[in-house]
Amino acid sequence: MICQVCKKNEAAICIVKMSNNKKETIYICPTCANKMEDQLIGSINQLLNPIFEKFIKKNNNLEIDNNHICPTCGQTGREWQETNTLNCKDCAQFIDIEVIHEGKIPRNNKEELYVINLIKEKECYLKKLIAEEKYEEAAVIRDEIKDLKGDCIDDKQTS
Amino acid sequence: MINKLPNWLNAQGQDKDIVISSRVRLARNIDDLLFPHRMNADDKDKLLDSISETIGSSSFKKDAGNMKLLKLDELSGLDREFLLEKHLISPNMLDNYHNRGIVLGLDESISILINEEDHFRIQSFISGLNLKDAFVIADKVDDELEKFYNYAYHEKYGYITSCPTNIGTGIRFSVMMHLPALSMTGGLKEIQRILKSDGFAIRGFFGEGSEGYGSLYQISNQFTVGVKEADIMLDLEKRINNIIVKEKACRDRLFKQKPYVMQDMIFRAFGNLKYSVLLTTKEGMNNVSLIRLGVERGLLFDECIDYNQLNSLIVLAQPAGLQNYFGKSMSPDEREKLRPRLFKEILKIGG
Repeated sequence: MICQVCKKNEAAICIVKMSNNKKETIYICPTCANKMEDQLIGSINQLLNPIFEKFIKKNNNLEIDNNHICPTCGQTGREWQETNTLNCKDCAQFIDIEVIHEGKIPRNNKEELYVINLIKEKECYLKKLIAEEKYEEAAVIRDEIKDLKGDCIDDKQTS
Repeated sequence: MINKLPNWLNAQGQDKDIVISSRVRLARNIDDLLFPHRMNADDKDKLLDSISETIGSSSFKKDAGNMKLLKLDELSGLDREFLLEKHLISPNMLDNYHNRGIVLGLDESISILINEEDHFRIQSFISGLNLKDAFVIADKVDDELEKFYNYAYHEKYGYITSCPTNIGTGIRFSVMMHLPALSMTGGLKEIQRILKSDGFAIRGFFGEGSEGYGSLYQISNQFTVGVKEADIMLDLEKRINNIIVKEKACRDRLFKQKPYVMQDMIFRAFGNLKYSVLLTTKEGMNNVSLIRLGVERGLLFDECIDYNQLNSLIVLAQPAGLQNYFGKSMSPDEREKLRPRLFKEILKIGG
């Protein structure tokens, strides 16, 4: 296919525009794409939400540091930039987001982590019960926390 | 043929005319394996064999119940399509079905996709607005699987998934809603804008680009990291309840301002289903949507149509659903000819 902008070179890039459920497709050659790039990146960035922007920023950094390779699957920084897909658990190193996971933790082989999380949750609940002046229930939770903390220390000592 | 209708079609709950079903999906991967898109066929088959052994073990059966593994390679094309229409497998899985499988619970309310985007996708699907129960079901199976497999987990980012948008809890809650009044009046656009900016998505039920099809929508969370499962759930639930209130108000307004127009639309839809000779899925579903609205408003009282009948059509009116219902494979033309019979039989409106 011939580039639809310069109508000279062979097209190598396809741009799809979706608006009002209508799909418009333009085929262009790399030379014309380079000319359009600044314009395109500008408009794309305006559309992306902040989280997504974070990924993009990180990706730009990776382009500079292209020696960055996942030790487990061999994915390079550049490949990550293109696919934005993790190939194995160690590809998590490519991710750069500020948030920290909250919620469920797998129990298997992460017993200690699991218990620490459980204690954290129970302590939250305990505070709530005390605030609501439900002292009897609070005492039960307090003892549970004590037991859990005991277990945690035992584990550390034995391992 | 897999001809059973899924449980999530049983009309249940307070606002069953508006909320059809609730669904939870957990994305999980195994620690020491490459993710499915980088696995070779042999490794994928090994995982299928391993999961088959796991679900057959007595300890898994005891806590998670009886489940069976269907290898997609061994199913007919029609069966695979029917699984898609029942929202049990993804369009991606239908296109690339090799070395992939689905583990199904007895009533299909729980299932595990194997070798989809992630090694495991645990999903539970139940009727009505009941995210909590759906979550409890999926969570339990997750707990059981965890006893057999080491999950890929990162201390900071949580569960690691192949697509970065699922990292963290790996959870997606979604609710299927019927919103005819809001979509008729355009009120949905504003809701859509707010949901989107707050990190929720609203899509047509029949997949990308099917907006408005039968006025069925699915609303789901987009962010999965940094927030606890329960908090994501409560946030979504709050929004769903808010949309229910808006839909009801919008219906009241429509029927107050234009009672004759509304009645005309609903009775015409009924007539359409009763007397048409050819029907496409889309036309059928749009008529069912209006009839559903009519049933809720008490307009079709004499016809004794209930929500269960209307819900079953969501699946049966689609191509594979229809072929399953009549027990034979058909060309698109044949389907169009037989579809009116399906509607008449299900809604018991002979003619």
